[in-house]
Amino acid sequence: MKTILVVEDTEDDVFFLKRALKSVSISNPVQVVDDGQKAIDYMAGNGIYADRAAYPLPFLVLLDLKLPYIMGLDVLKWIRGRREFDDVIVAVLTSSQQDNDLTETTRLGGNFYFVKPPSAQKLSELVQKLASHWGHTET
Amino acid sequence: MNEPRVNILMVDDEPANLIALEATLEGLGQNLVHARSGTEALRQVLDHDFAVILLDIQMAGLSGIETAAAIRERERSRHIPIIFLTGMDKTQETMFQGYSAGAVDYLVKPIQTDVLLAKVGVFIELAQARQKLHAEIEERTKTGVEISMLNQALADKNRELEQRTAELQDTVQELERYSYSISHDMRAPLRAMKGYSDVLIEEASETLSEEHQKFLHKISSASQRLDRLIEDVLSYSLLSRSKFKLKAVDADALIREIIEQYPGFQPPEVEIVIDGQLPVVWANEATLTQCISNLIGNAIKFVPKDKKPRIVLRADVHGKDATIWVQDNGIGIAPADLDRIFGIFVKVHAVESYAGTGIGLSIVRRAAEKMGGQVGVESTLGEGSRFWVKLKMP
Repeated sequence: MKTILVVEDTEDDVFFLKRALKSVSISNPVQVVDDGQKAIDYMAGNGIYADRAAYPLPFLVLLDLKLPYIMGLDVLKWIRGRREFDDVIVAVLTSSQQDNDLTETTRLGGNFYFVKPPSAQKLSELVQKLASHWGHTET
Repeated sequence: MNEPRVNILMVDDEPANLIALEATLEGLGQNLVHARSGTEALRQVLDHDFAVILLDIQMAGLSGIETAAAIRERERSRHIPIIFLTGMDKTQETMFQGYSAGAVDYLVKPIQTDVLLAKVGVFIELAQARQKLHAEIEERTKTGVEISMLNQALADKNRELEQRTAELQDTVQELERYSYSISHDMRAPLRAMKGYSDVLIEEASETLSEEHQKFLHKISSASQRLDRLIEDVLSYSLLSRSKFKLKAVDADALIREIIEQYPGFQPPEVEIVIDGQLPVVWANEATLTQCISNLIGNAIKFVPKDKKPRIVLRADVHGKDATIWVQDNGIGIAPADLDRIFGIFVKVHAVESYAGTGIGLSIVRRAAEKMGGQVGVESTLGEGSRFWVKLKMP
């Protein structure tokens, strides 16, 4: 099954996200990196990420915007600057609605923009909605 | 009217002639100045201004003609009119010389008193008029200088004000950035609180006593309340910073859509009615949505639990002003609270009975003001409130 890459520096949010994925029966393997530089290294296959058996290229990146070292929007820009990642779905998952972030996400070619919901149930609904977009049953 | 005194210069090398002239001119009430020679006359015109110079032509030393020519040569004295005093033996030639040297007139000795007085009188008036003109010009110049000084002072003050405004704007911007960042960062731990308590409620309820379950629910609802509070602070600060252009917005369509879409605005729990057609107003869609949804949410919130909220929206149009009314059947607002209800963090009801963040109405007011509008409320305690938003129409 195809891999999901979660770019998130808050451990709790990673926990809730994994749980939400499980709650809507999405069993794709999940890889987590906790800063923007690692996200780029992962995608580029730098360092340890060169081992694609251990770190397969994801079909979906769940991207937080407020990240250490390199901010989420720069990661998005980096990914969209490479033709080989054209098919990778990038969904921004951020703490709060900010018009600029939304506009930039759209401009830079992000596929989705979500505000992290405050409850587990809402997060499950969100993940469900996202899954229906990529049609995860086929994966 | 008090005419300024002017100077008259009499030049003659015969003291007797000077005395005779002085006797004649005394009655004019002006300053009479003697000169016994051309040289002395030149010295006088160097230091003083004269309304007229009476100049004897036949003088020892510098002659009258030469004196007149010297007076004309000097910038300072060029304008002073000269009347030549001459004997009976004047020839065409001397007259011509005199006029060339700048004489304006001739008087032939023995001088006729009335003619002398009349001629000198004209030049006195001329000089007086010129003096007054000078005084006026000076006054105006002075006023002009004063005005330009005042203008300068004003410009300085303006610059000072601009600088202070800029500083203030920086502070405000910094504060808003700060509040935005804080609100942003506060949500992460809050999500954790809410999330983990929800997990516990979901997965471990059976293992907990009823009371402990209640505590868990309290943690969950408290974090939800805080999240709403942060959300409102964010909206408020975002609204303060946002810049947008107004356009014609169909309030009727927009508000009907709000009522259809918002989860909390649905029947049978609440009844929301639009009475008549709402007008097209100058607004920004997102901001008007914020404004109206907060007003409706507020209206619903402050209805007693045993009563079904009934909200009526309608509009008044006066000229280019549209007032949208949101009327509820809630608890109403005490007259003393009407003025302060739009202030931020103002709550006029006990927290337990009506949960609110105290920001909703501040958002409403800020939103309306951002669109060039106003808000207000009329209310009767126990019978409900009528909030209004006044906006311009295209």
